[in-house]
Amino acid sequence: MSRYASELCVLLVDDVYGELTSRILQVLLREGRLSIPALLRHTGLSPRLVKHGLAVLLQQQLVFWYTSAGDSTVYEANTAVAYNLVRAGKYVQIAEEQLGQFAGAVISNLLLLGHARVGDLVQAYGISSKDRQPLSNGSSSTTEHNVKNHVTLESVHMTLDDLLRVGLVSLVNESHFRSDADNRIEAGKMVPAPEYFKNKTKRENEEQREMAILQKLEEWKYPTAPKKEEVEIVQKGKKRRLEDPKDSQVAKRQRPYLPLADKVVGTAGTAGAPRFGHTGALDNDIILHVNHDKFAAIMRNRSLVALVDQSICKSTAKVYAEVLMRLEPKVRDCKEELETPDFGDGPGLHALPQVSTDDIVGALKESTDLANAFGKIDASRVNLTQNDHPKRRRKKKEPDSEDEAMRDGDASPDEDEDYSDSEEILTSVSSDSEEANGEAEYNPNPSNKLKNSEDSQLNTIRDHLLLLAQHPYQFLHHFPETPTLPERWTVHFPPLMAHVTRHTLLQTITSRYGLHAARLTRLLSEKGKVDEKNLCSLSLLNQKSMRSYLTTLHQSGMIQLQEVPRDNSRNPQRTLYLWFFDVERCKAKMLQETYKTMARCLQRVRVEGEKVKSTVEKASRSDVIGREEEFLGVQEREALRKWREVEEKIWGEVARLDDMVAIMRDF
Amino acid sequence: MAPASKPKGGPRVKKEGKGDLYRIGGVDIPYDPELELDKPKPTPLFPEYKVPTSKPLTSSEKDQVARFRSLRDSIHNGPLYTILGDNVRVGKPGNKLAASFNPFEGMPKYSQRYAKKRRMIPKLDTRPYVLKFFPKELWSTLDPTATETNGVIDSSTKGKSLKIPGYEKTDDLDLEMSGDEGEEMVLRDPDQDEPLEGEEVDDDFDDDDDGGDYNAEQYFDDGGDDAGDDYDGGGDDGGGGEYF
Repeated sequence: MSRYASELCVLLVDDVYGELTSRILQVLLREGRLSIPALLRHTGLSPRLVKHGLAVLLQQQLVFWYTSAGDSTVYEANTAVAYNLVRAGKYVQIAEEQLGQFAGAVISNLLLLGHARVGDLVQAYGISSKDRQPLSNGSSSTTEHNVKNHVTLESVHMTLDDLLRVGLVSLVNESHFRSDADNRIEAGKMVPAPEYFKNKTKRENEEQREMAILQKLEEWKYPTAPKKEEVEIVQKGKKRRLEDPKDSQVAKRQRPYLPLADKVVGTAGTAGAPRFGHTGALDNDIILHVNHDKFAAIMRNRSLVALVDQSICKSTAKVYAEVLMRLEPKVRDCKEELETPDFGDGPGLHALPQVSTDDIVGALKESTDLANAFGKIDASRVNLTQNDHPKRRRKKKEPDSEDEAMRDGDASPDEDEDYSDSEEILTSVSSDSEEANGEAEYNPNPSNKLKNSEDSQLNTIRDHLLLLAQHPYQFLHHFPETPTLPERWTVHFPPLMAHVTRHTLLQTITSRYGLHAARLTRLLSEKGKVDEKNLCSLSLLNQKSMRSYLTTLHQSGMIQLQEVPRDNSRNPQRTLYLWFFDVERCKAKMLQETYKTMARCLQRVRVEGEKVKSTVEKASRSDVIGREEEFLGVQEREALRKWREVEEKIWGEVARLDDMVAIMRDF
Repeated sequence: MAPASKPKGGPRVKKEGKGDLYRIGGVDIPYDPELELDKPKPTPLFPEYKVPTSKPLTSSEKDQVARFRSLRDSIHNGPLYTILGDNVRVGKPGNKLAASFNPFEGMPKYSQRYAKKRRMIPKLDTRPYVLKFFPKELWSTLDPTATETNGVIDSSTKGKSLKIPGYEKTDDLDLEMSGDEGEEMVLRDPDQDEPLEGEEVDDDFDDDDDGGDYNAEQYFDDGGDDAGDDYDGGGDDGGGGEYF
């Protein structure tokens, strides 16, 4: 953990949970894992204070703990959760958007309480568990009891169930309080020794044990409800979803071409799952916490939609949002796809969750926006070879009349070049499937078929989807129609997110060092290591100005320079100097800078707050609250208003920076 | 300000028509006295800098911040938020409190009764905990009654419940109240009502045992040690009667 990241975590915890907790966390971040006596020594606090502080930190899962056999308990800072405090506002907002106002309130309360038993949580809403009996009998006496707050036992349970099903909230177990390394050790203890597995070779035994350990870790990471009948039923939707990826992987190996026949096509499998089960409610004893991974997945979708909105158009973004929403239930963690091996192309891609065109059409209401997003063009003017590779186009064009060639000159040749890659991929995919299925009447050029079709809505949405698939970033992956399966779409995240990351980096470089610098960076990232002379001719800049850009970029660590001596003398004059752009390095650099900026922002808030401290304290006096007009002078009110504005602005800025961190680190 | 006029009274410089020779009093001088040496101006120490400003927040972003703030406020009002004083370090005495005492702001005032109390140590005994998620050495801190028998954790959670802002446990009395009376509860009279839950009130002002007169001598006698108790979270001793 870098200096700035830990600084940021400490500031966040300090801002939210107060000084005692932040001081303990600071020591833990600085010194690594510590036992209580060591903590006492480093913090200089009394044992009582340290224990109380640790209790709060553990309740909020900001600290890991681990007791190894015969040893004292050690504590370790959980930086992921500490960092995620900055997203609390986003979490609440997302929950509200997905499941309504009350769900947002529940998430907010879970964030407030750390982890909590369902029973306690329900009780906190002023509903005692005694009230539960009448509910399961069908009457609703609790409704009257809490009519003031519009909360009933049923509604709390409903919301919690919804949240669980969507995955915004998940079950907690002990493993969530241990760091990854400790979890690994624990899992190693639980899985029997390699000799237990009766394989032929030692290596096979080891491998099998490794698999068992990984499975155990997986089980811990995504816990399912305890084996109780009542819970089982309510949880079924979630359980099934959790098992999905594994199933589909197995299916993939056995029958690579029909992995989707039974379940993937159509809406999310969970939609039809039992909601509020007939037995009543969630078990009071299950313990819930906020599921940060799922929130990250949803935030990723949001940022992708925003990017489409920015780079294509609003209506396409709408369509894309729908696709992502359909696929979202099958994504539980942004890093999941990265871990899954063998994702080249071909069968690997088929294992990804998919959504068919009809589903999307069904979900999107008829709207003129969608249709109007595309310019209309006379069919005779459409040149279908326009996006083909230049060489192929030339061949095809030869028999064409001169007229036609003149007319299609409006698209600039550059654009053609840019889009030709993706177009080729598309056509190659379609031709692949043709070969694989031996389907003769498949029309490789779908737009022809579409023109005759009646359903304009379908066509429009299909156009939007194709546009997304053809975009250089490849927002979508297109599976053409086959005899057994309808046309389907999927999102292959790893390459897409690589594009998005690069996009973000270039955006930052543009805003910091100007367009030319960004162009140089883009050139370098495309060409690899380039000599200065080559770069000069490629970038169409004169050497002097190019050098000034390169120097600033190099100084700030965005690009690097490699020296390659041509002989053993290492004479500078006989040395090649190659510039290159390393995305990973640039990303790490940018990430650290962003952490630093965020930390500085939070420090700024503090300084600004210090200025109006006395006024804020006065305004928070219990006699003043609610009667501000009476007790506060005009100047004081003005100062407060300004302070609130400043605070909002800075926190808003921090939230934006967090979006960037999310793209570079989490997605 | 008038435009800068040429300095008068310097040596008379006369430029002759031909060439670029200058003469002072009929003597050629080999240099150009009017040459502006700092024509290419030195780079300014503080060049004009356009401070980059960010776009104004969108309504959705404002929404996020508002959500975050309200969550943070409820955490701050909850039992777990702490503000440490300066003198918590063990074995390292900080500043002498009497020395750092602010005579203008630091004097106890009646309005302090309403001020938010700083809590130095979190109040852990207000809510139930899932003890299996905590190491054993902290159990006594969380819940002094907790015991473990044969792996089954036993702790009494009677009378403890989570508290969520807006859904505080209401007494039966409150439920019967009409809306108007409820409002009165908010604007409660400080002298009559019980303080709201979770809020600690400094009782010092009610202790008028000995006349209530300001006793300067007494103040200075033990002020040095007790002034710090202003910030005591009312945890252990909550001693009254220090301020007179």
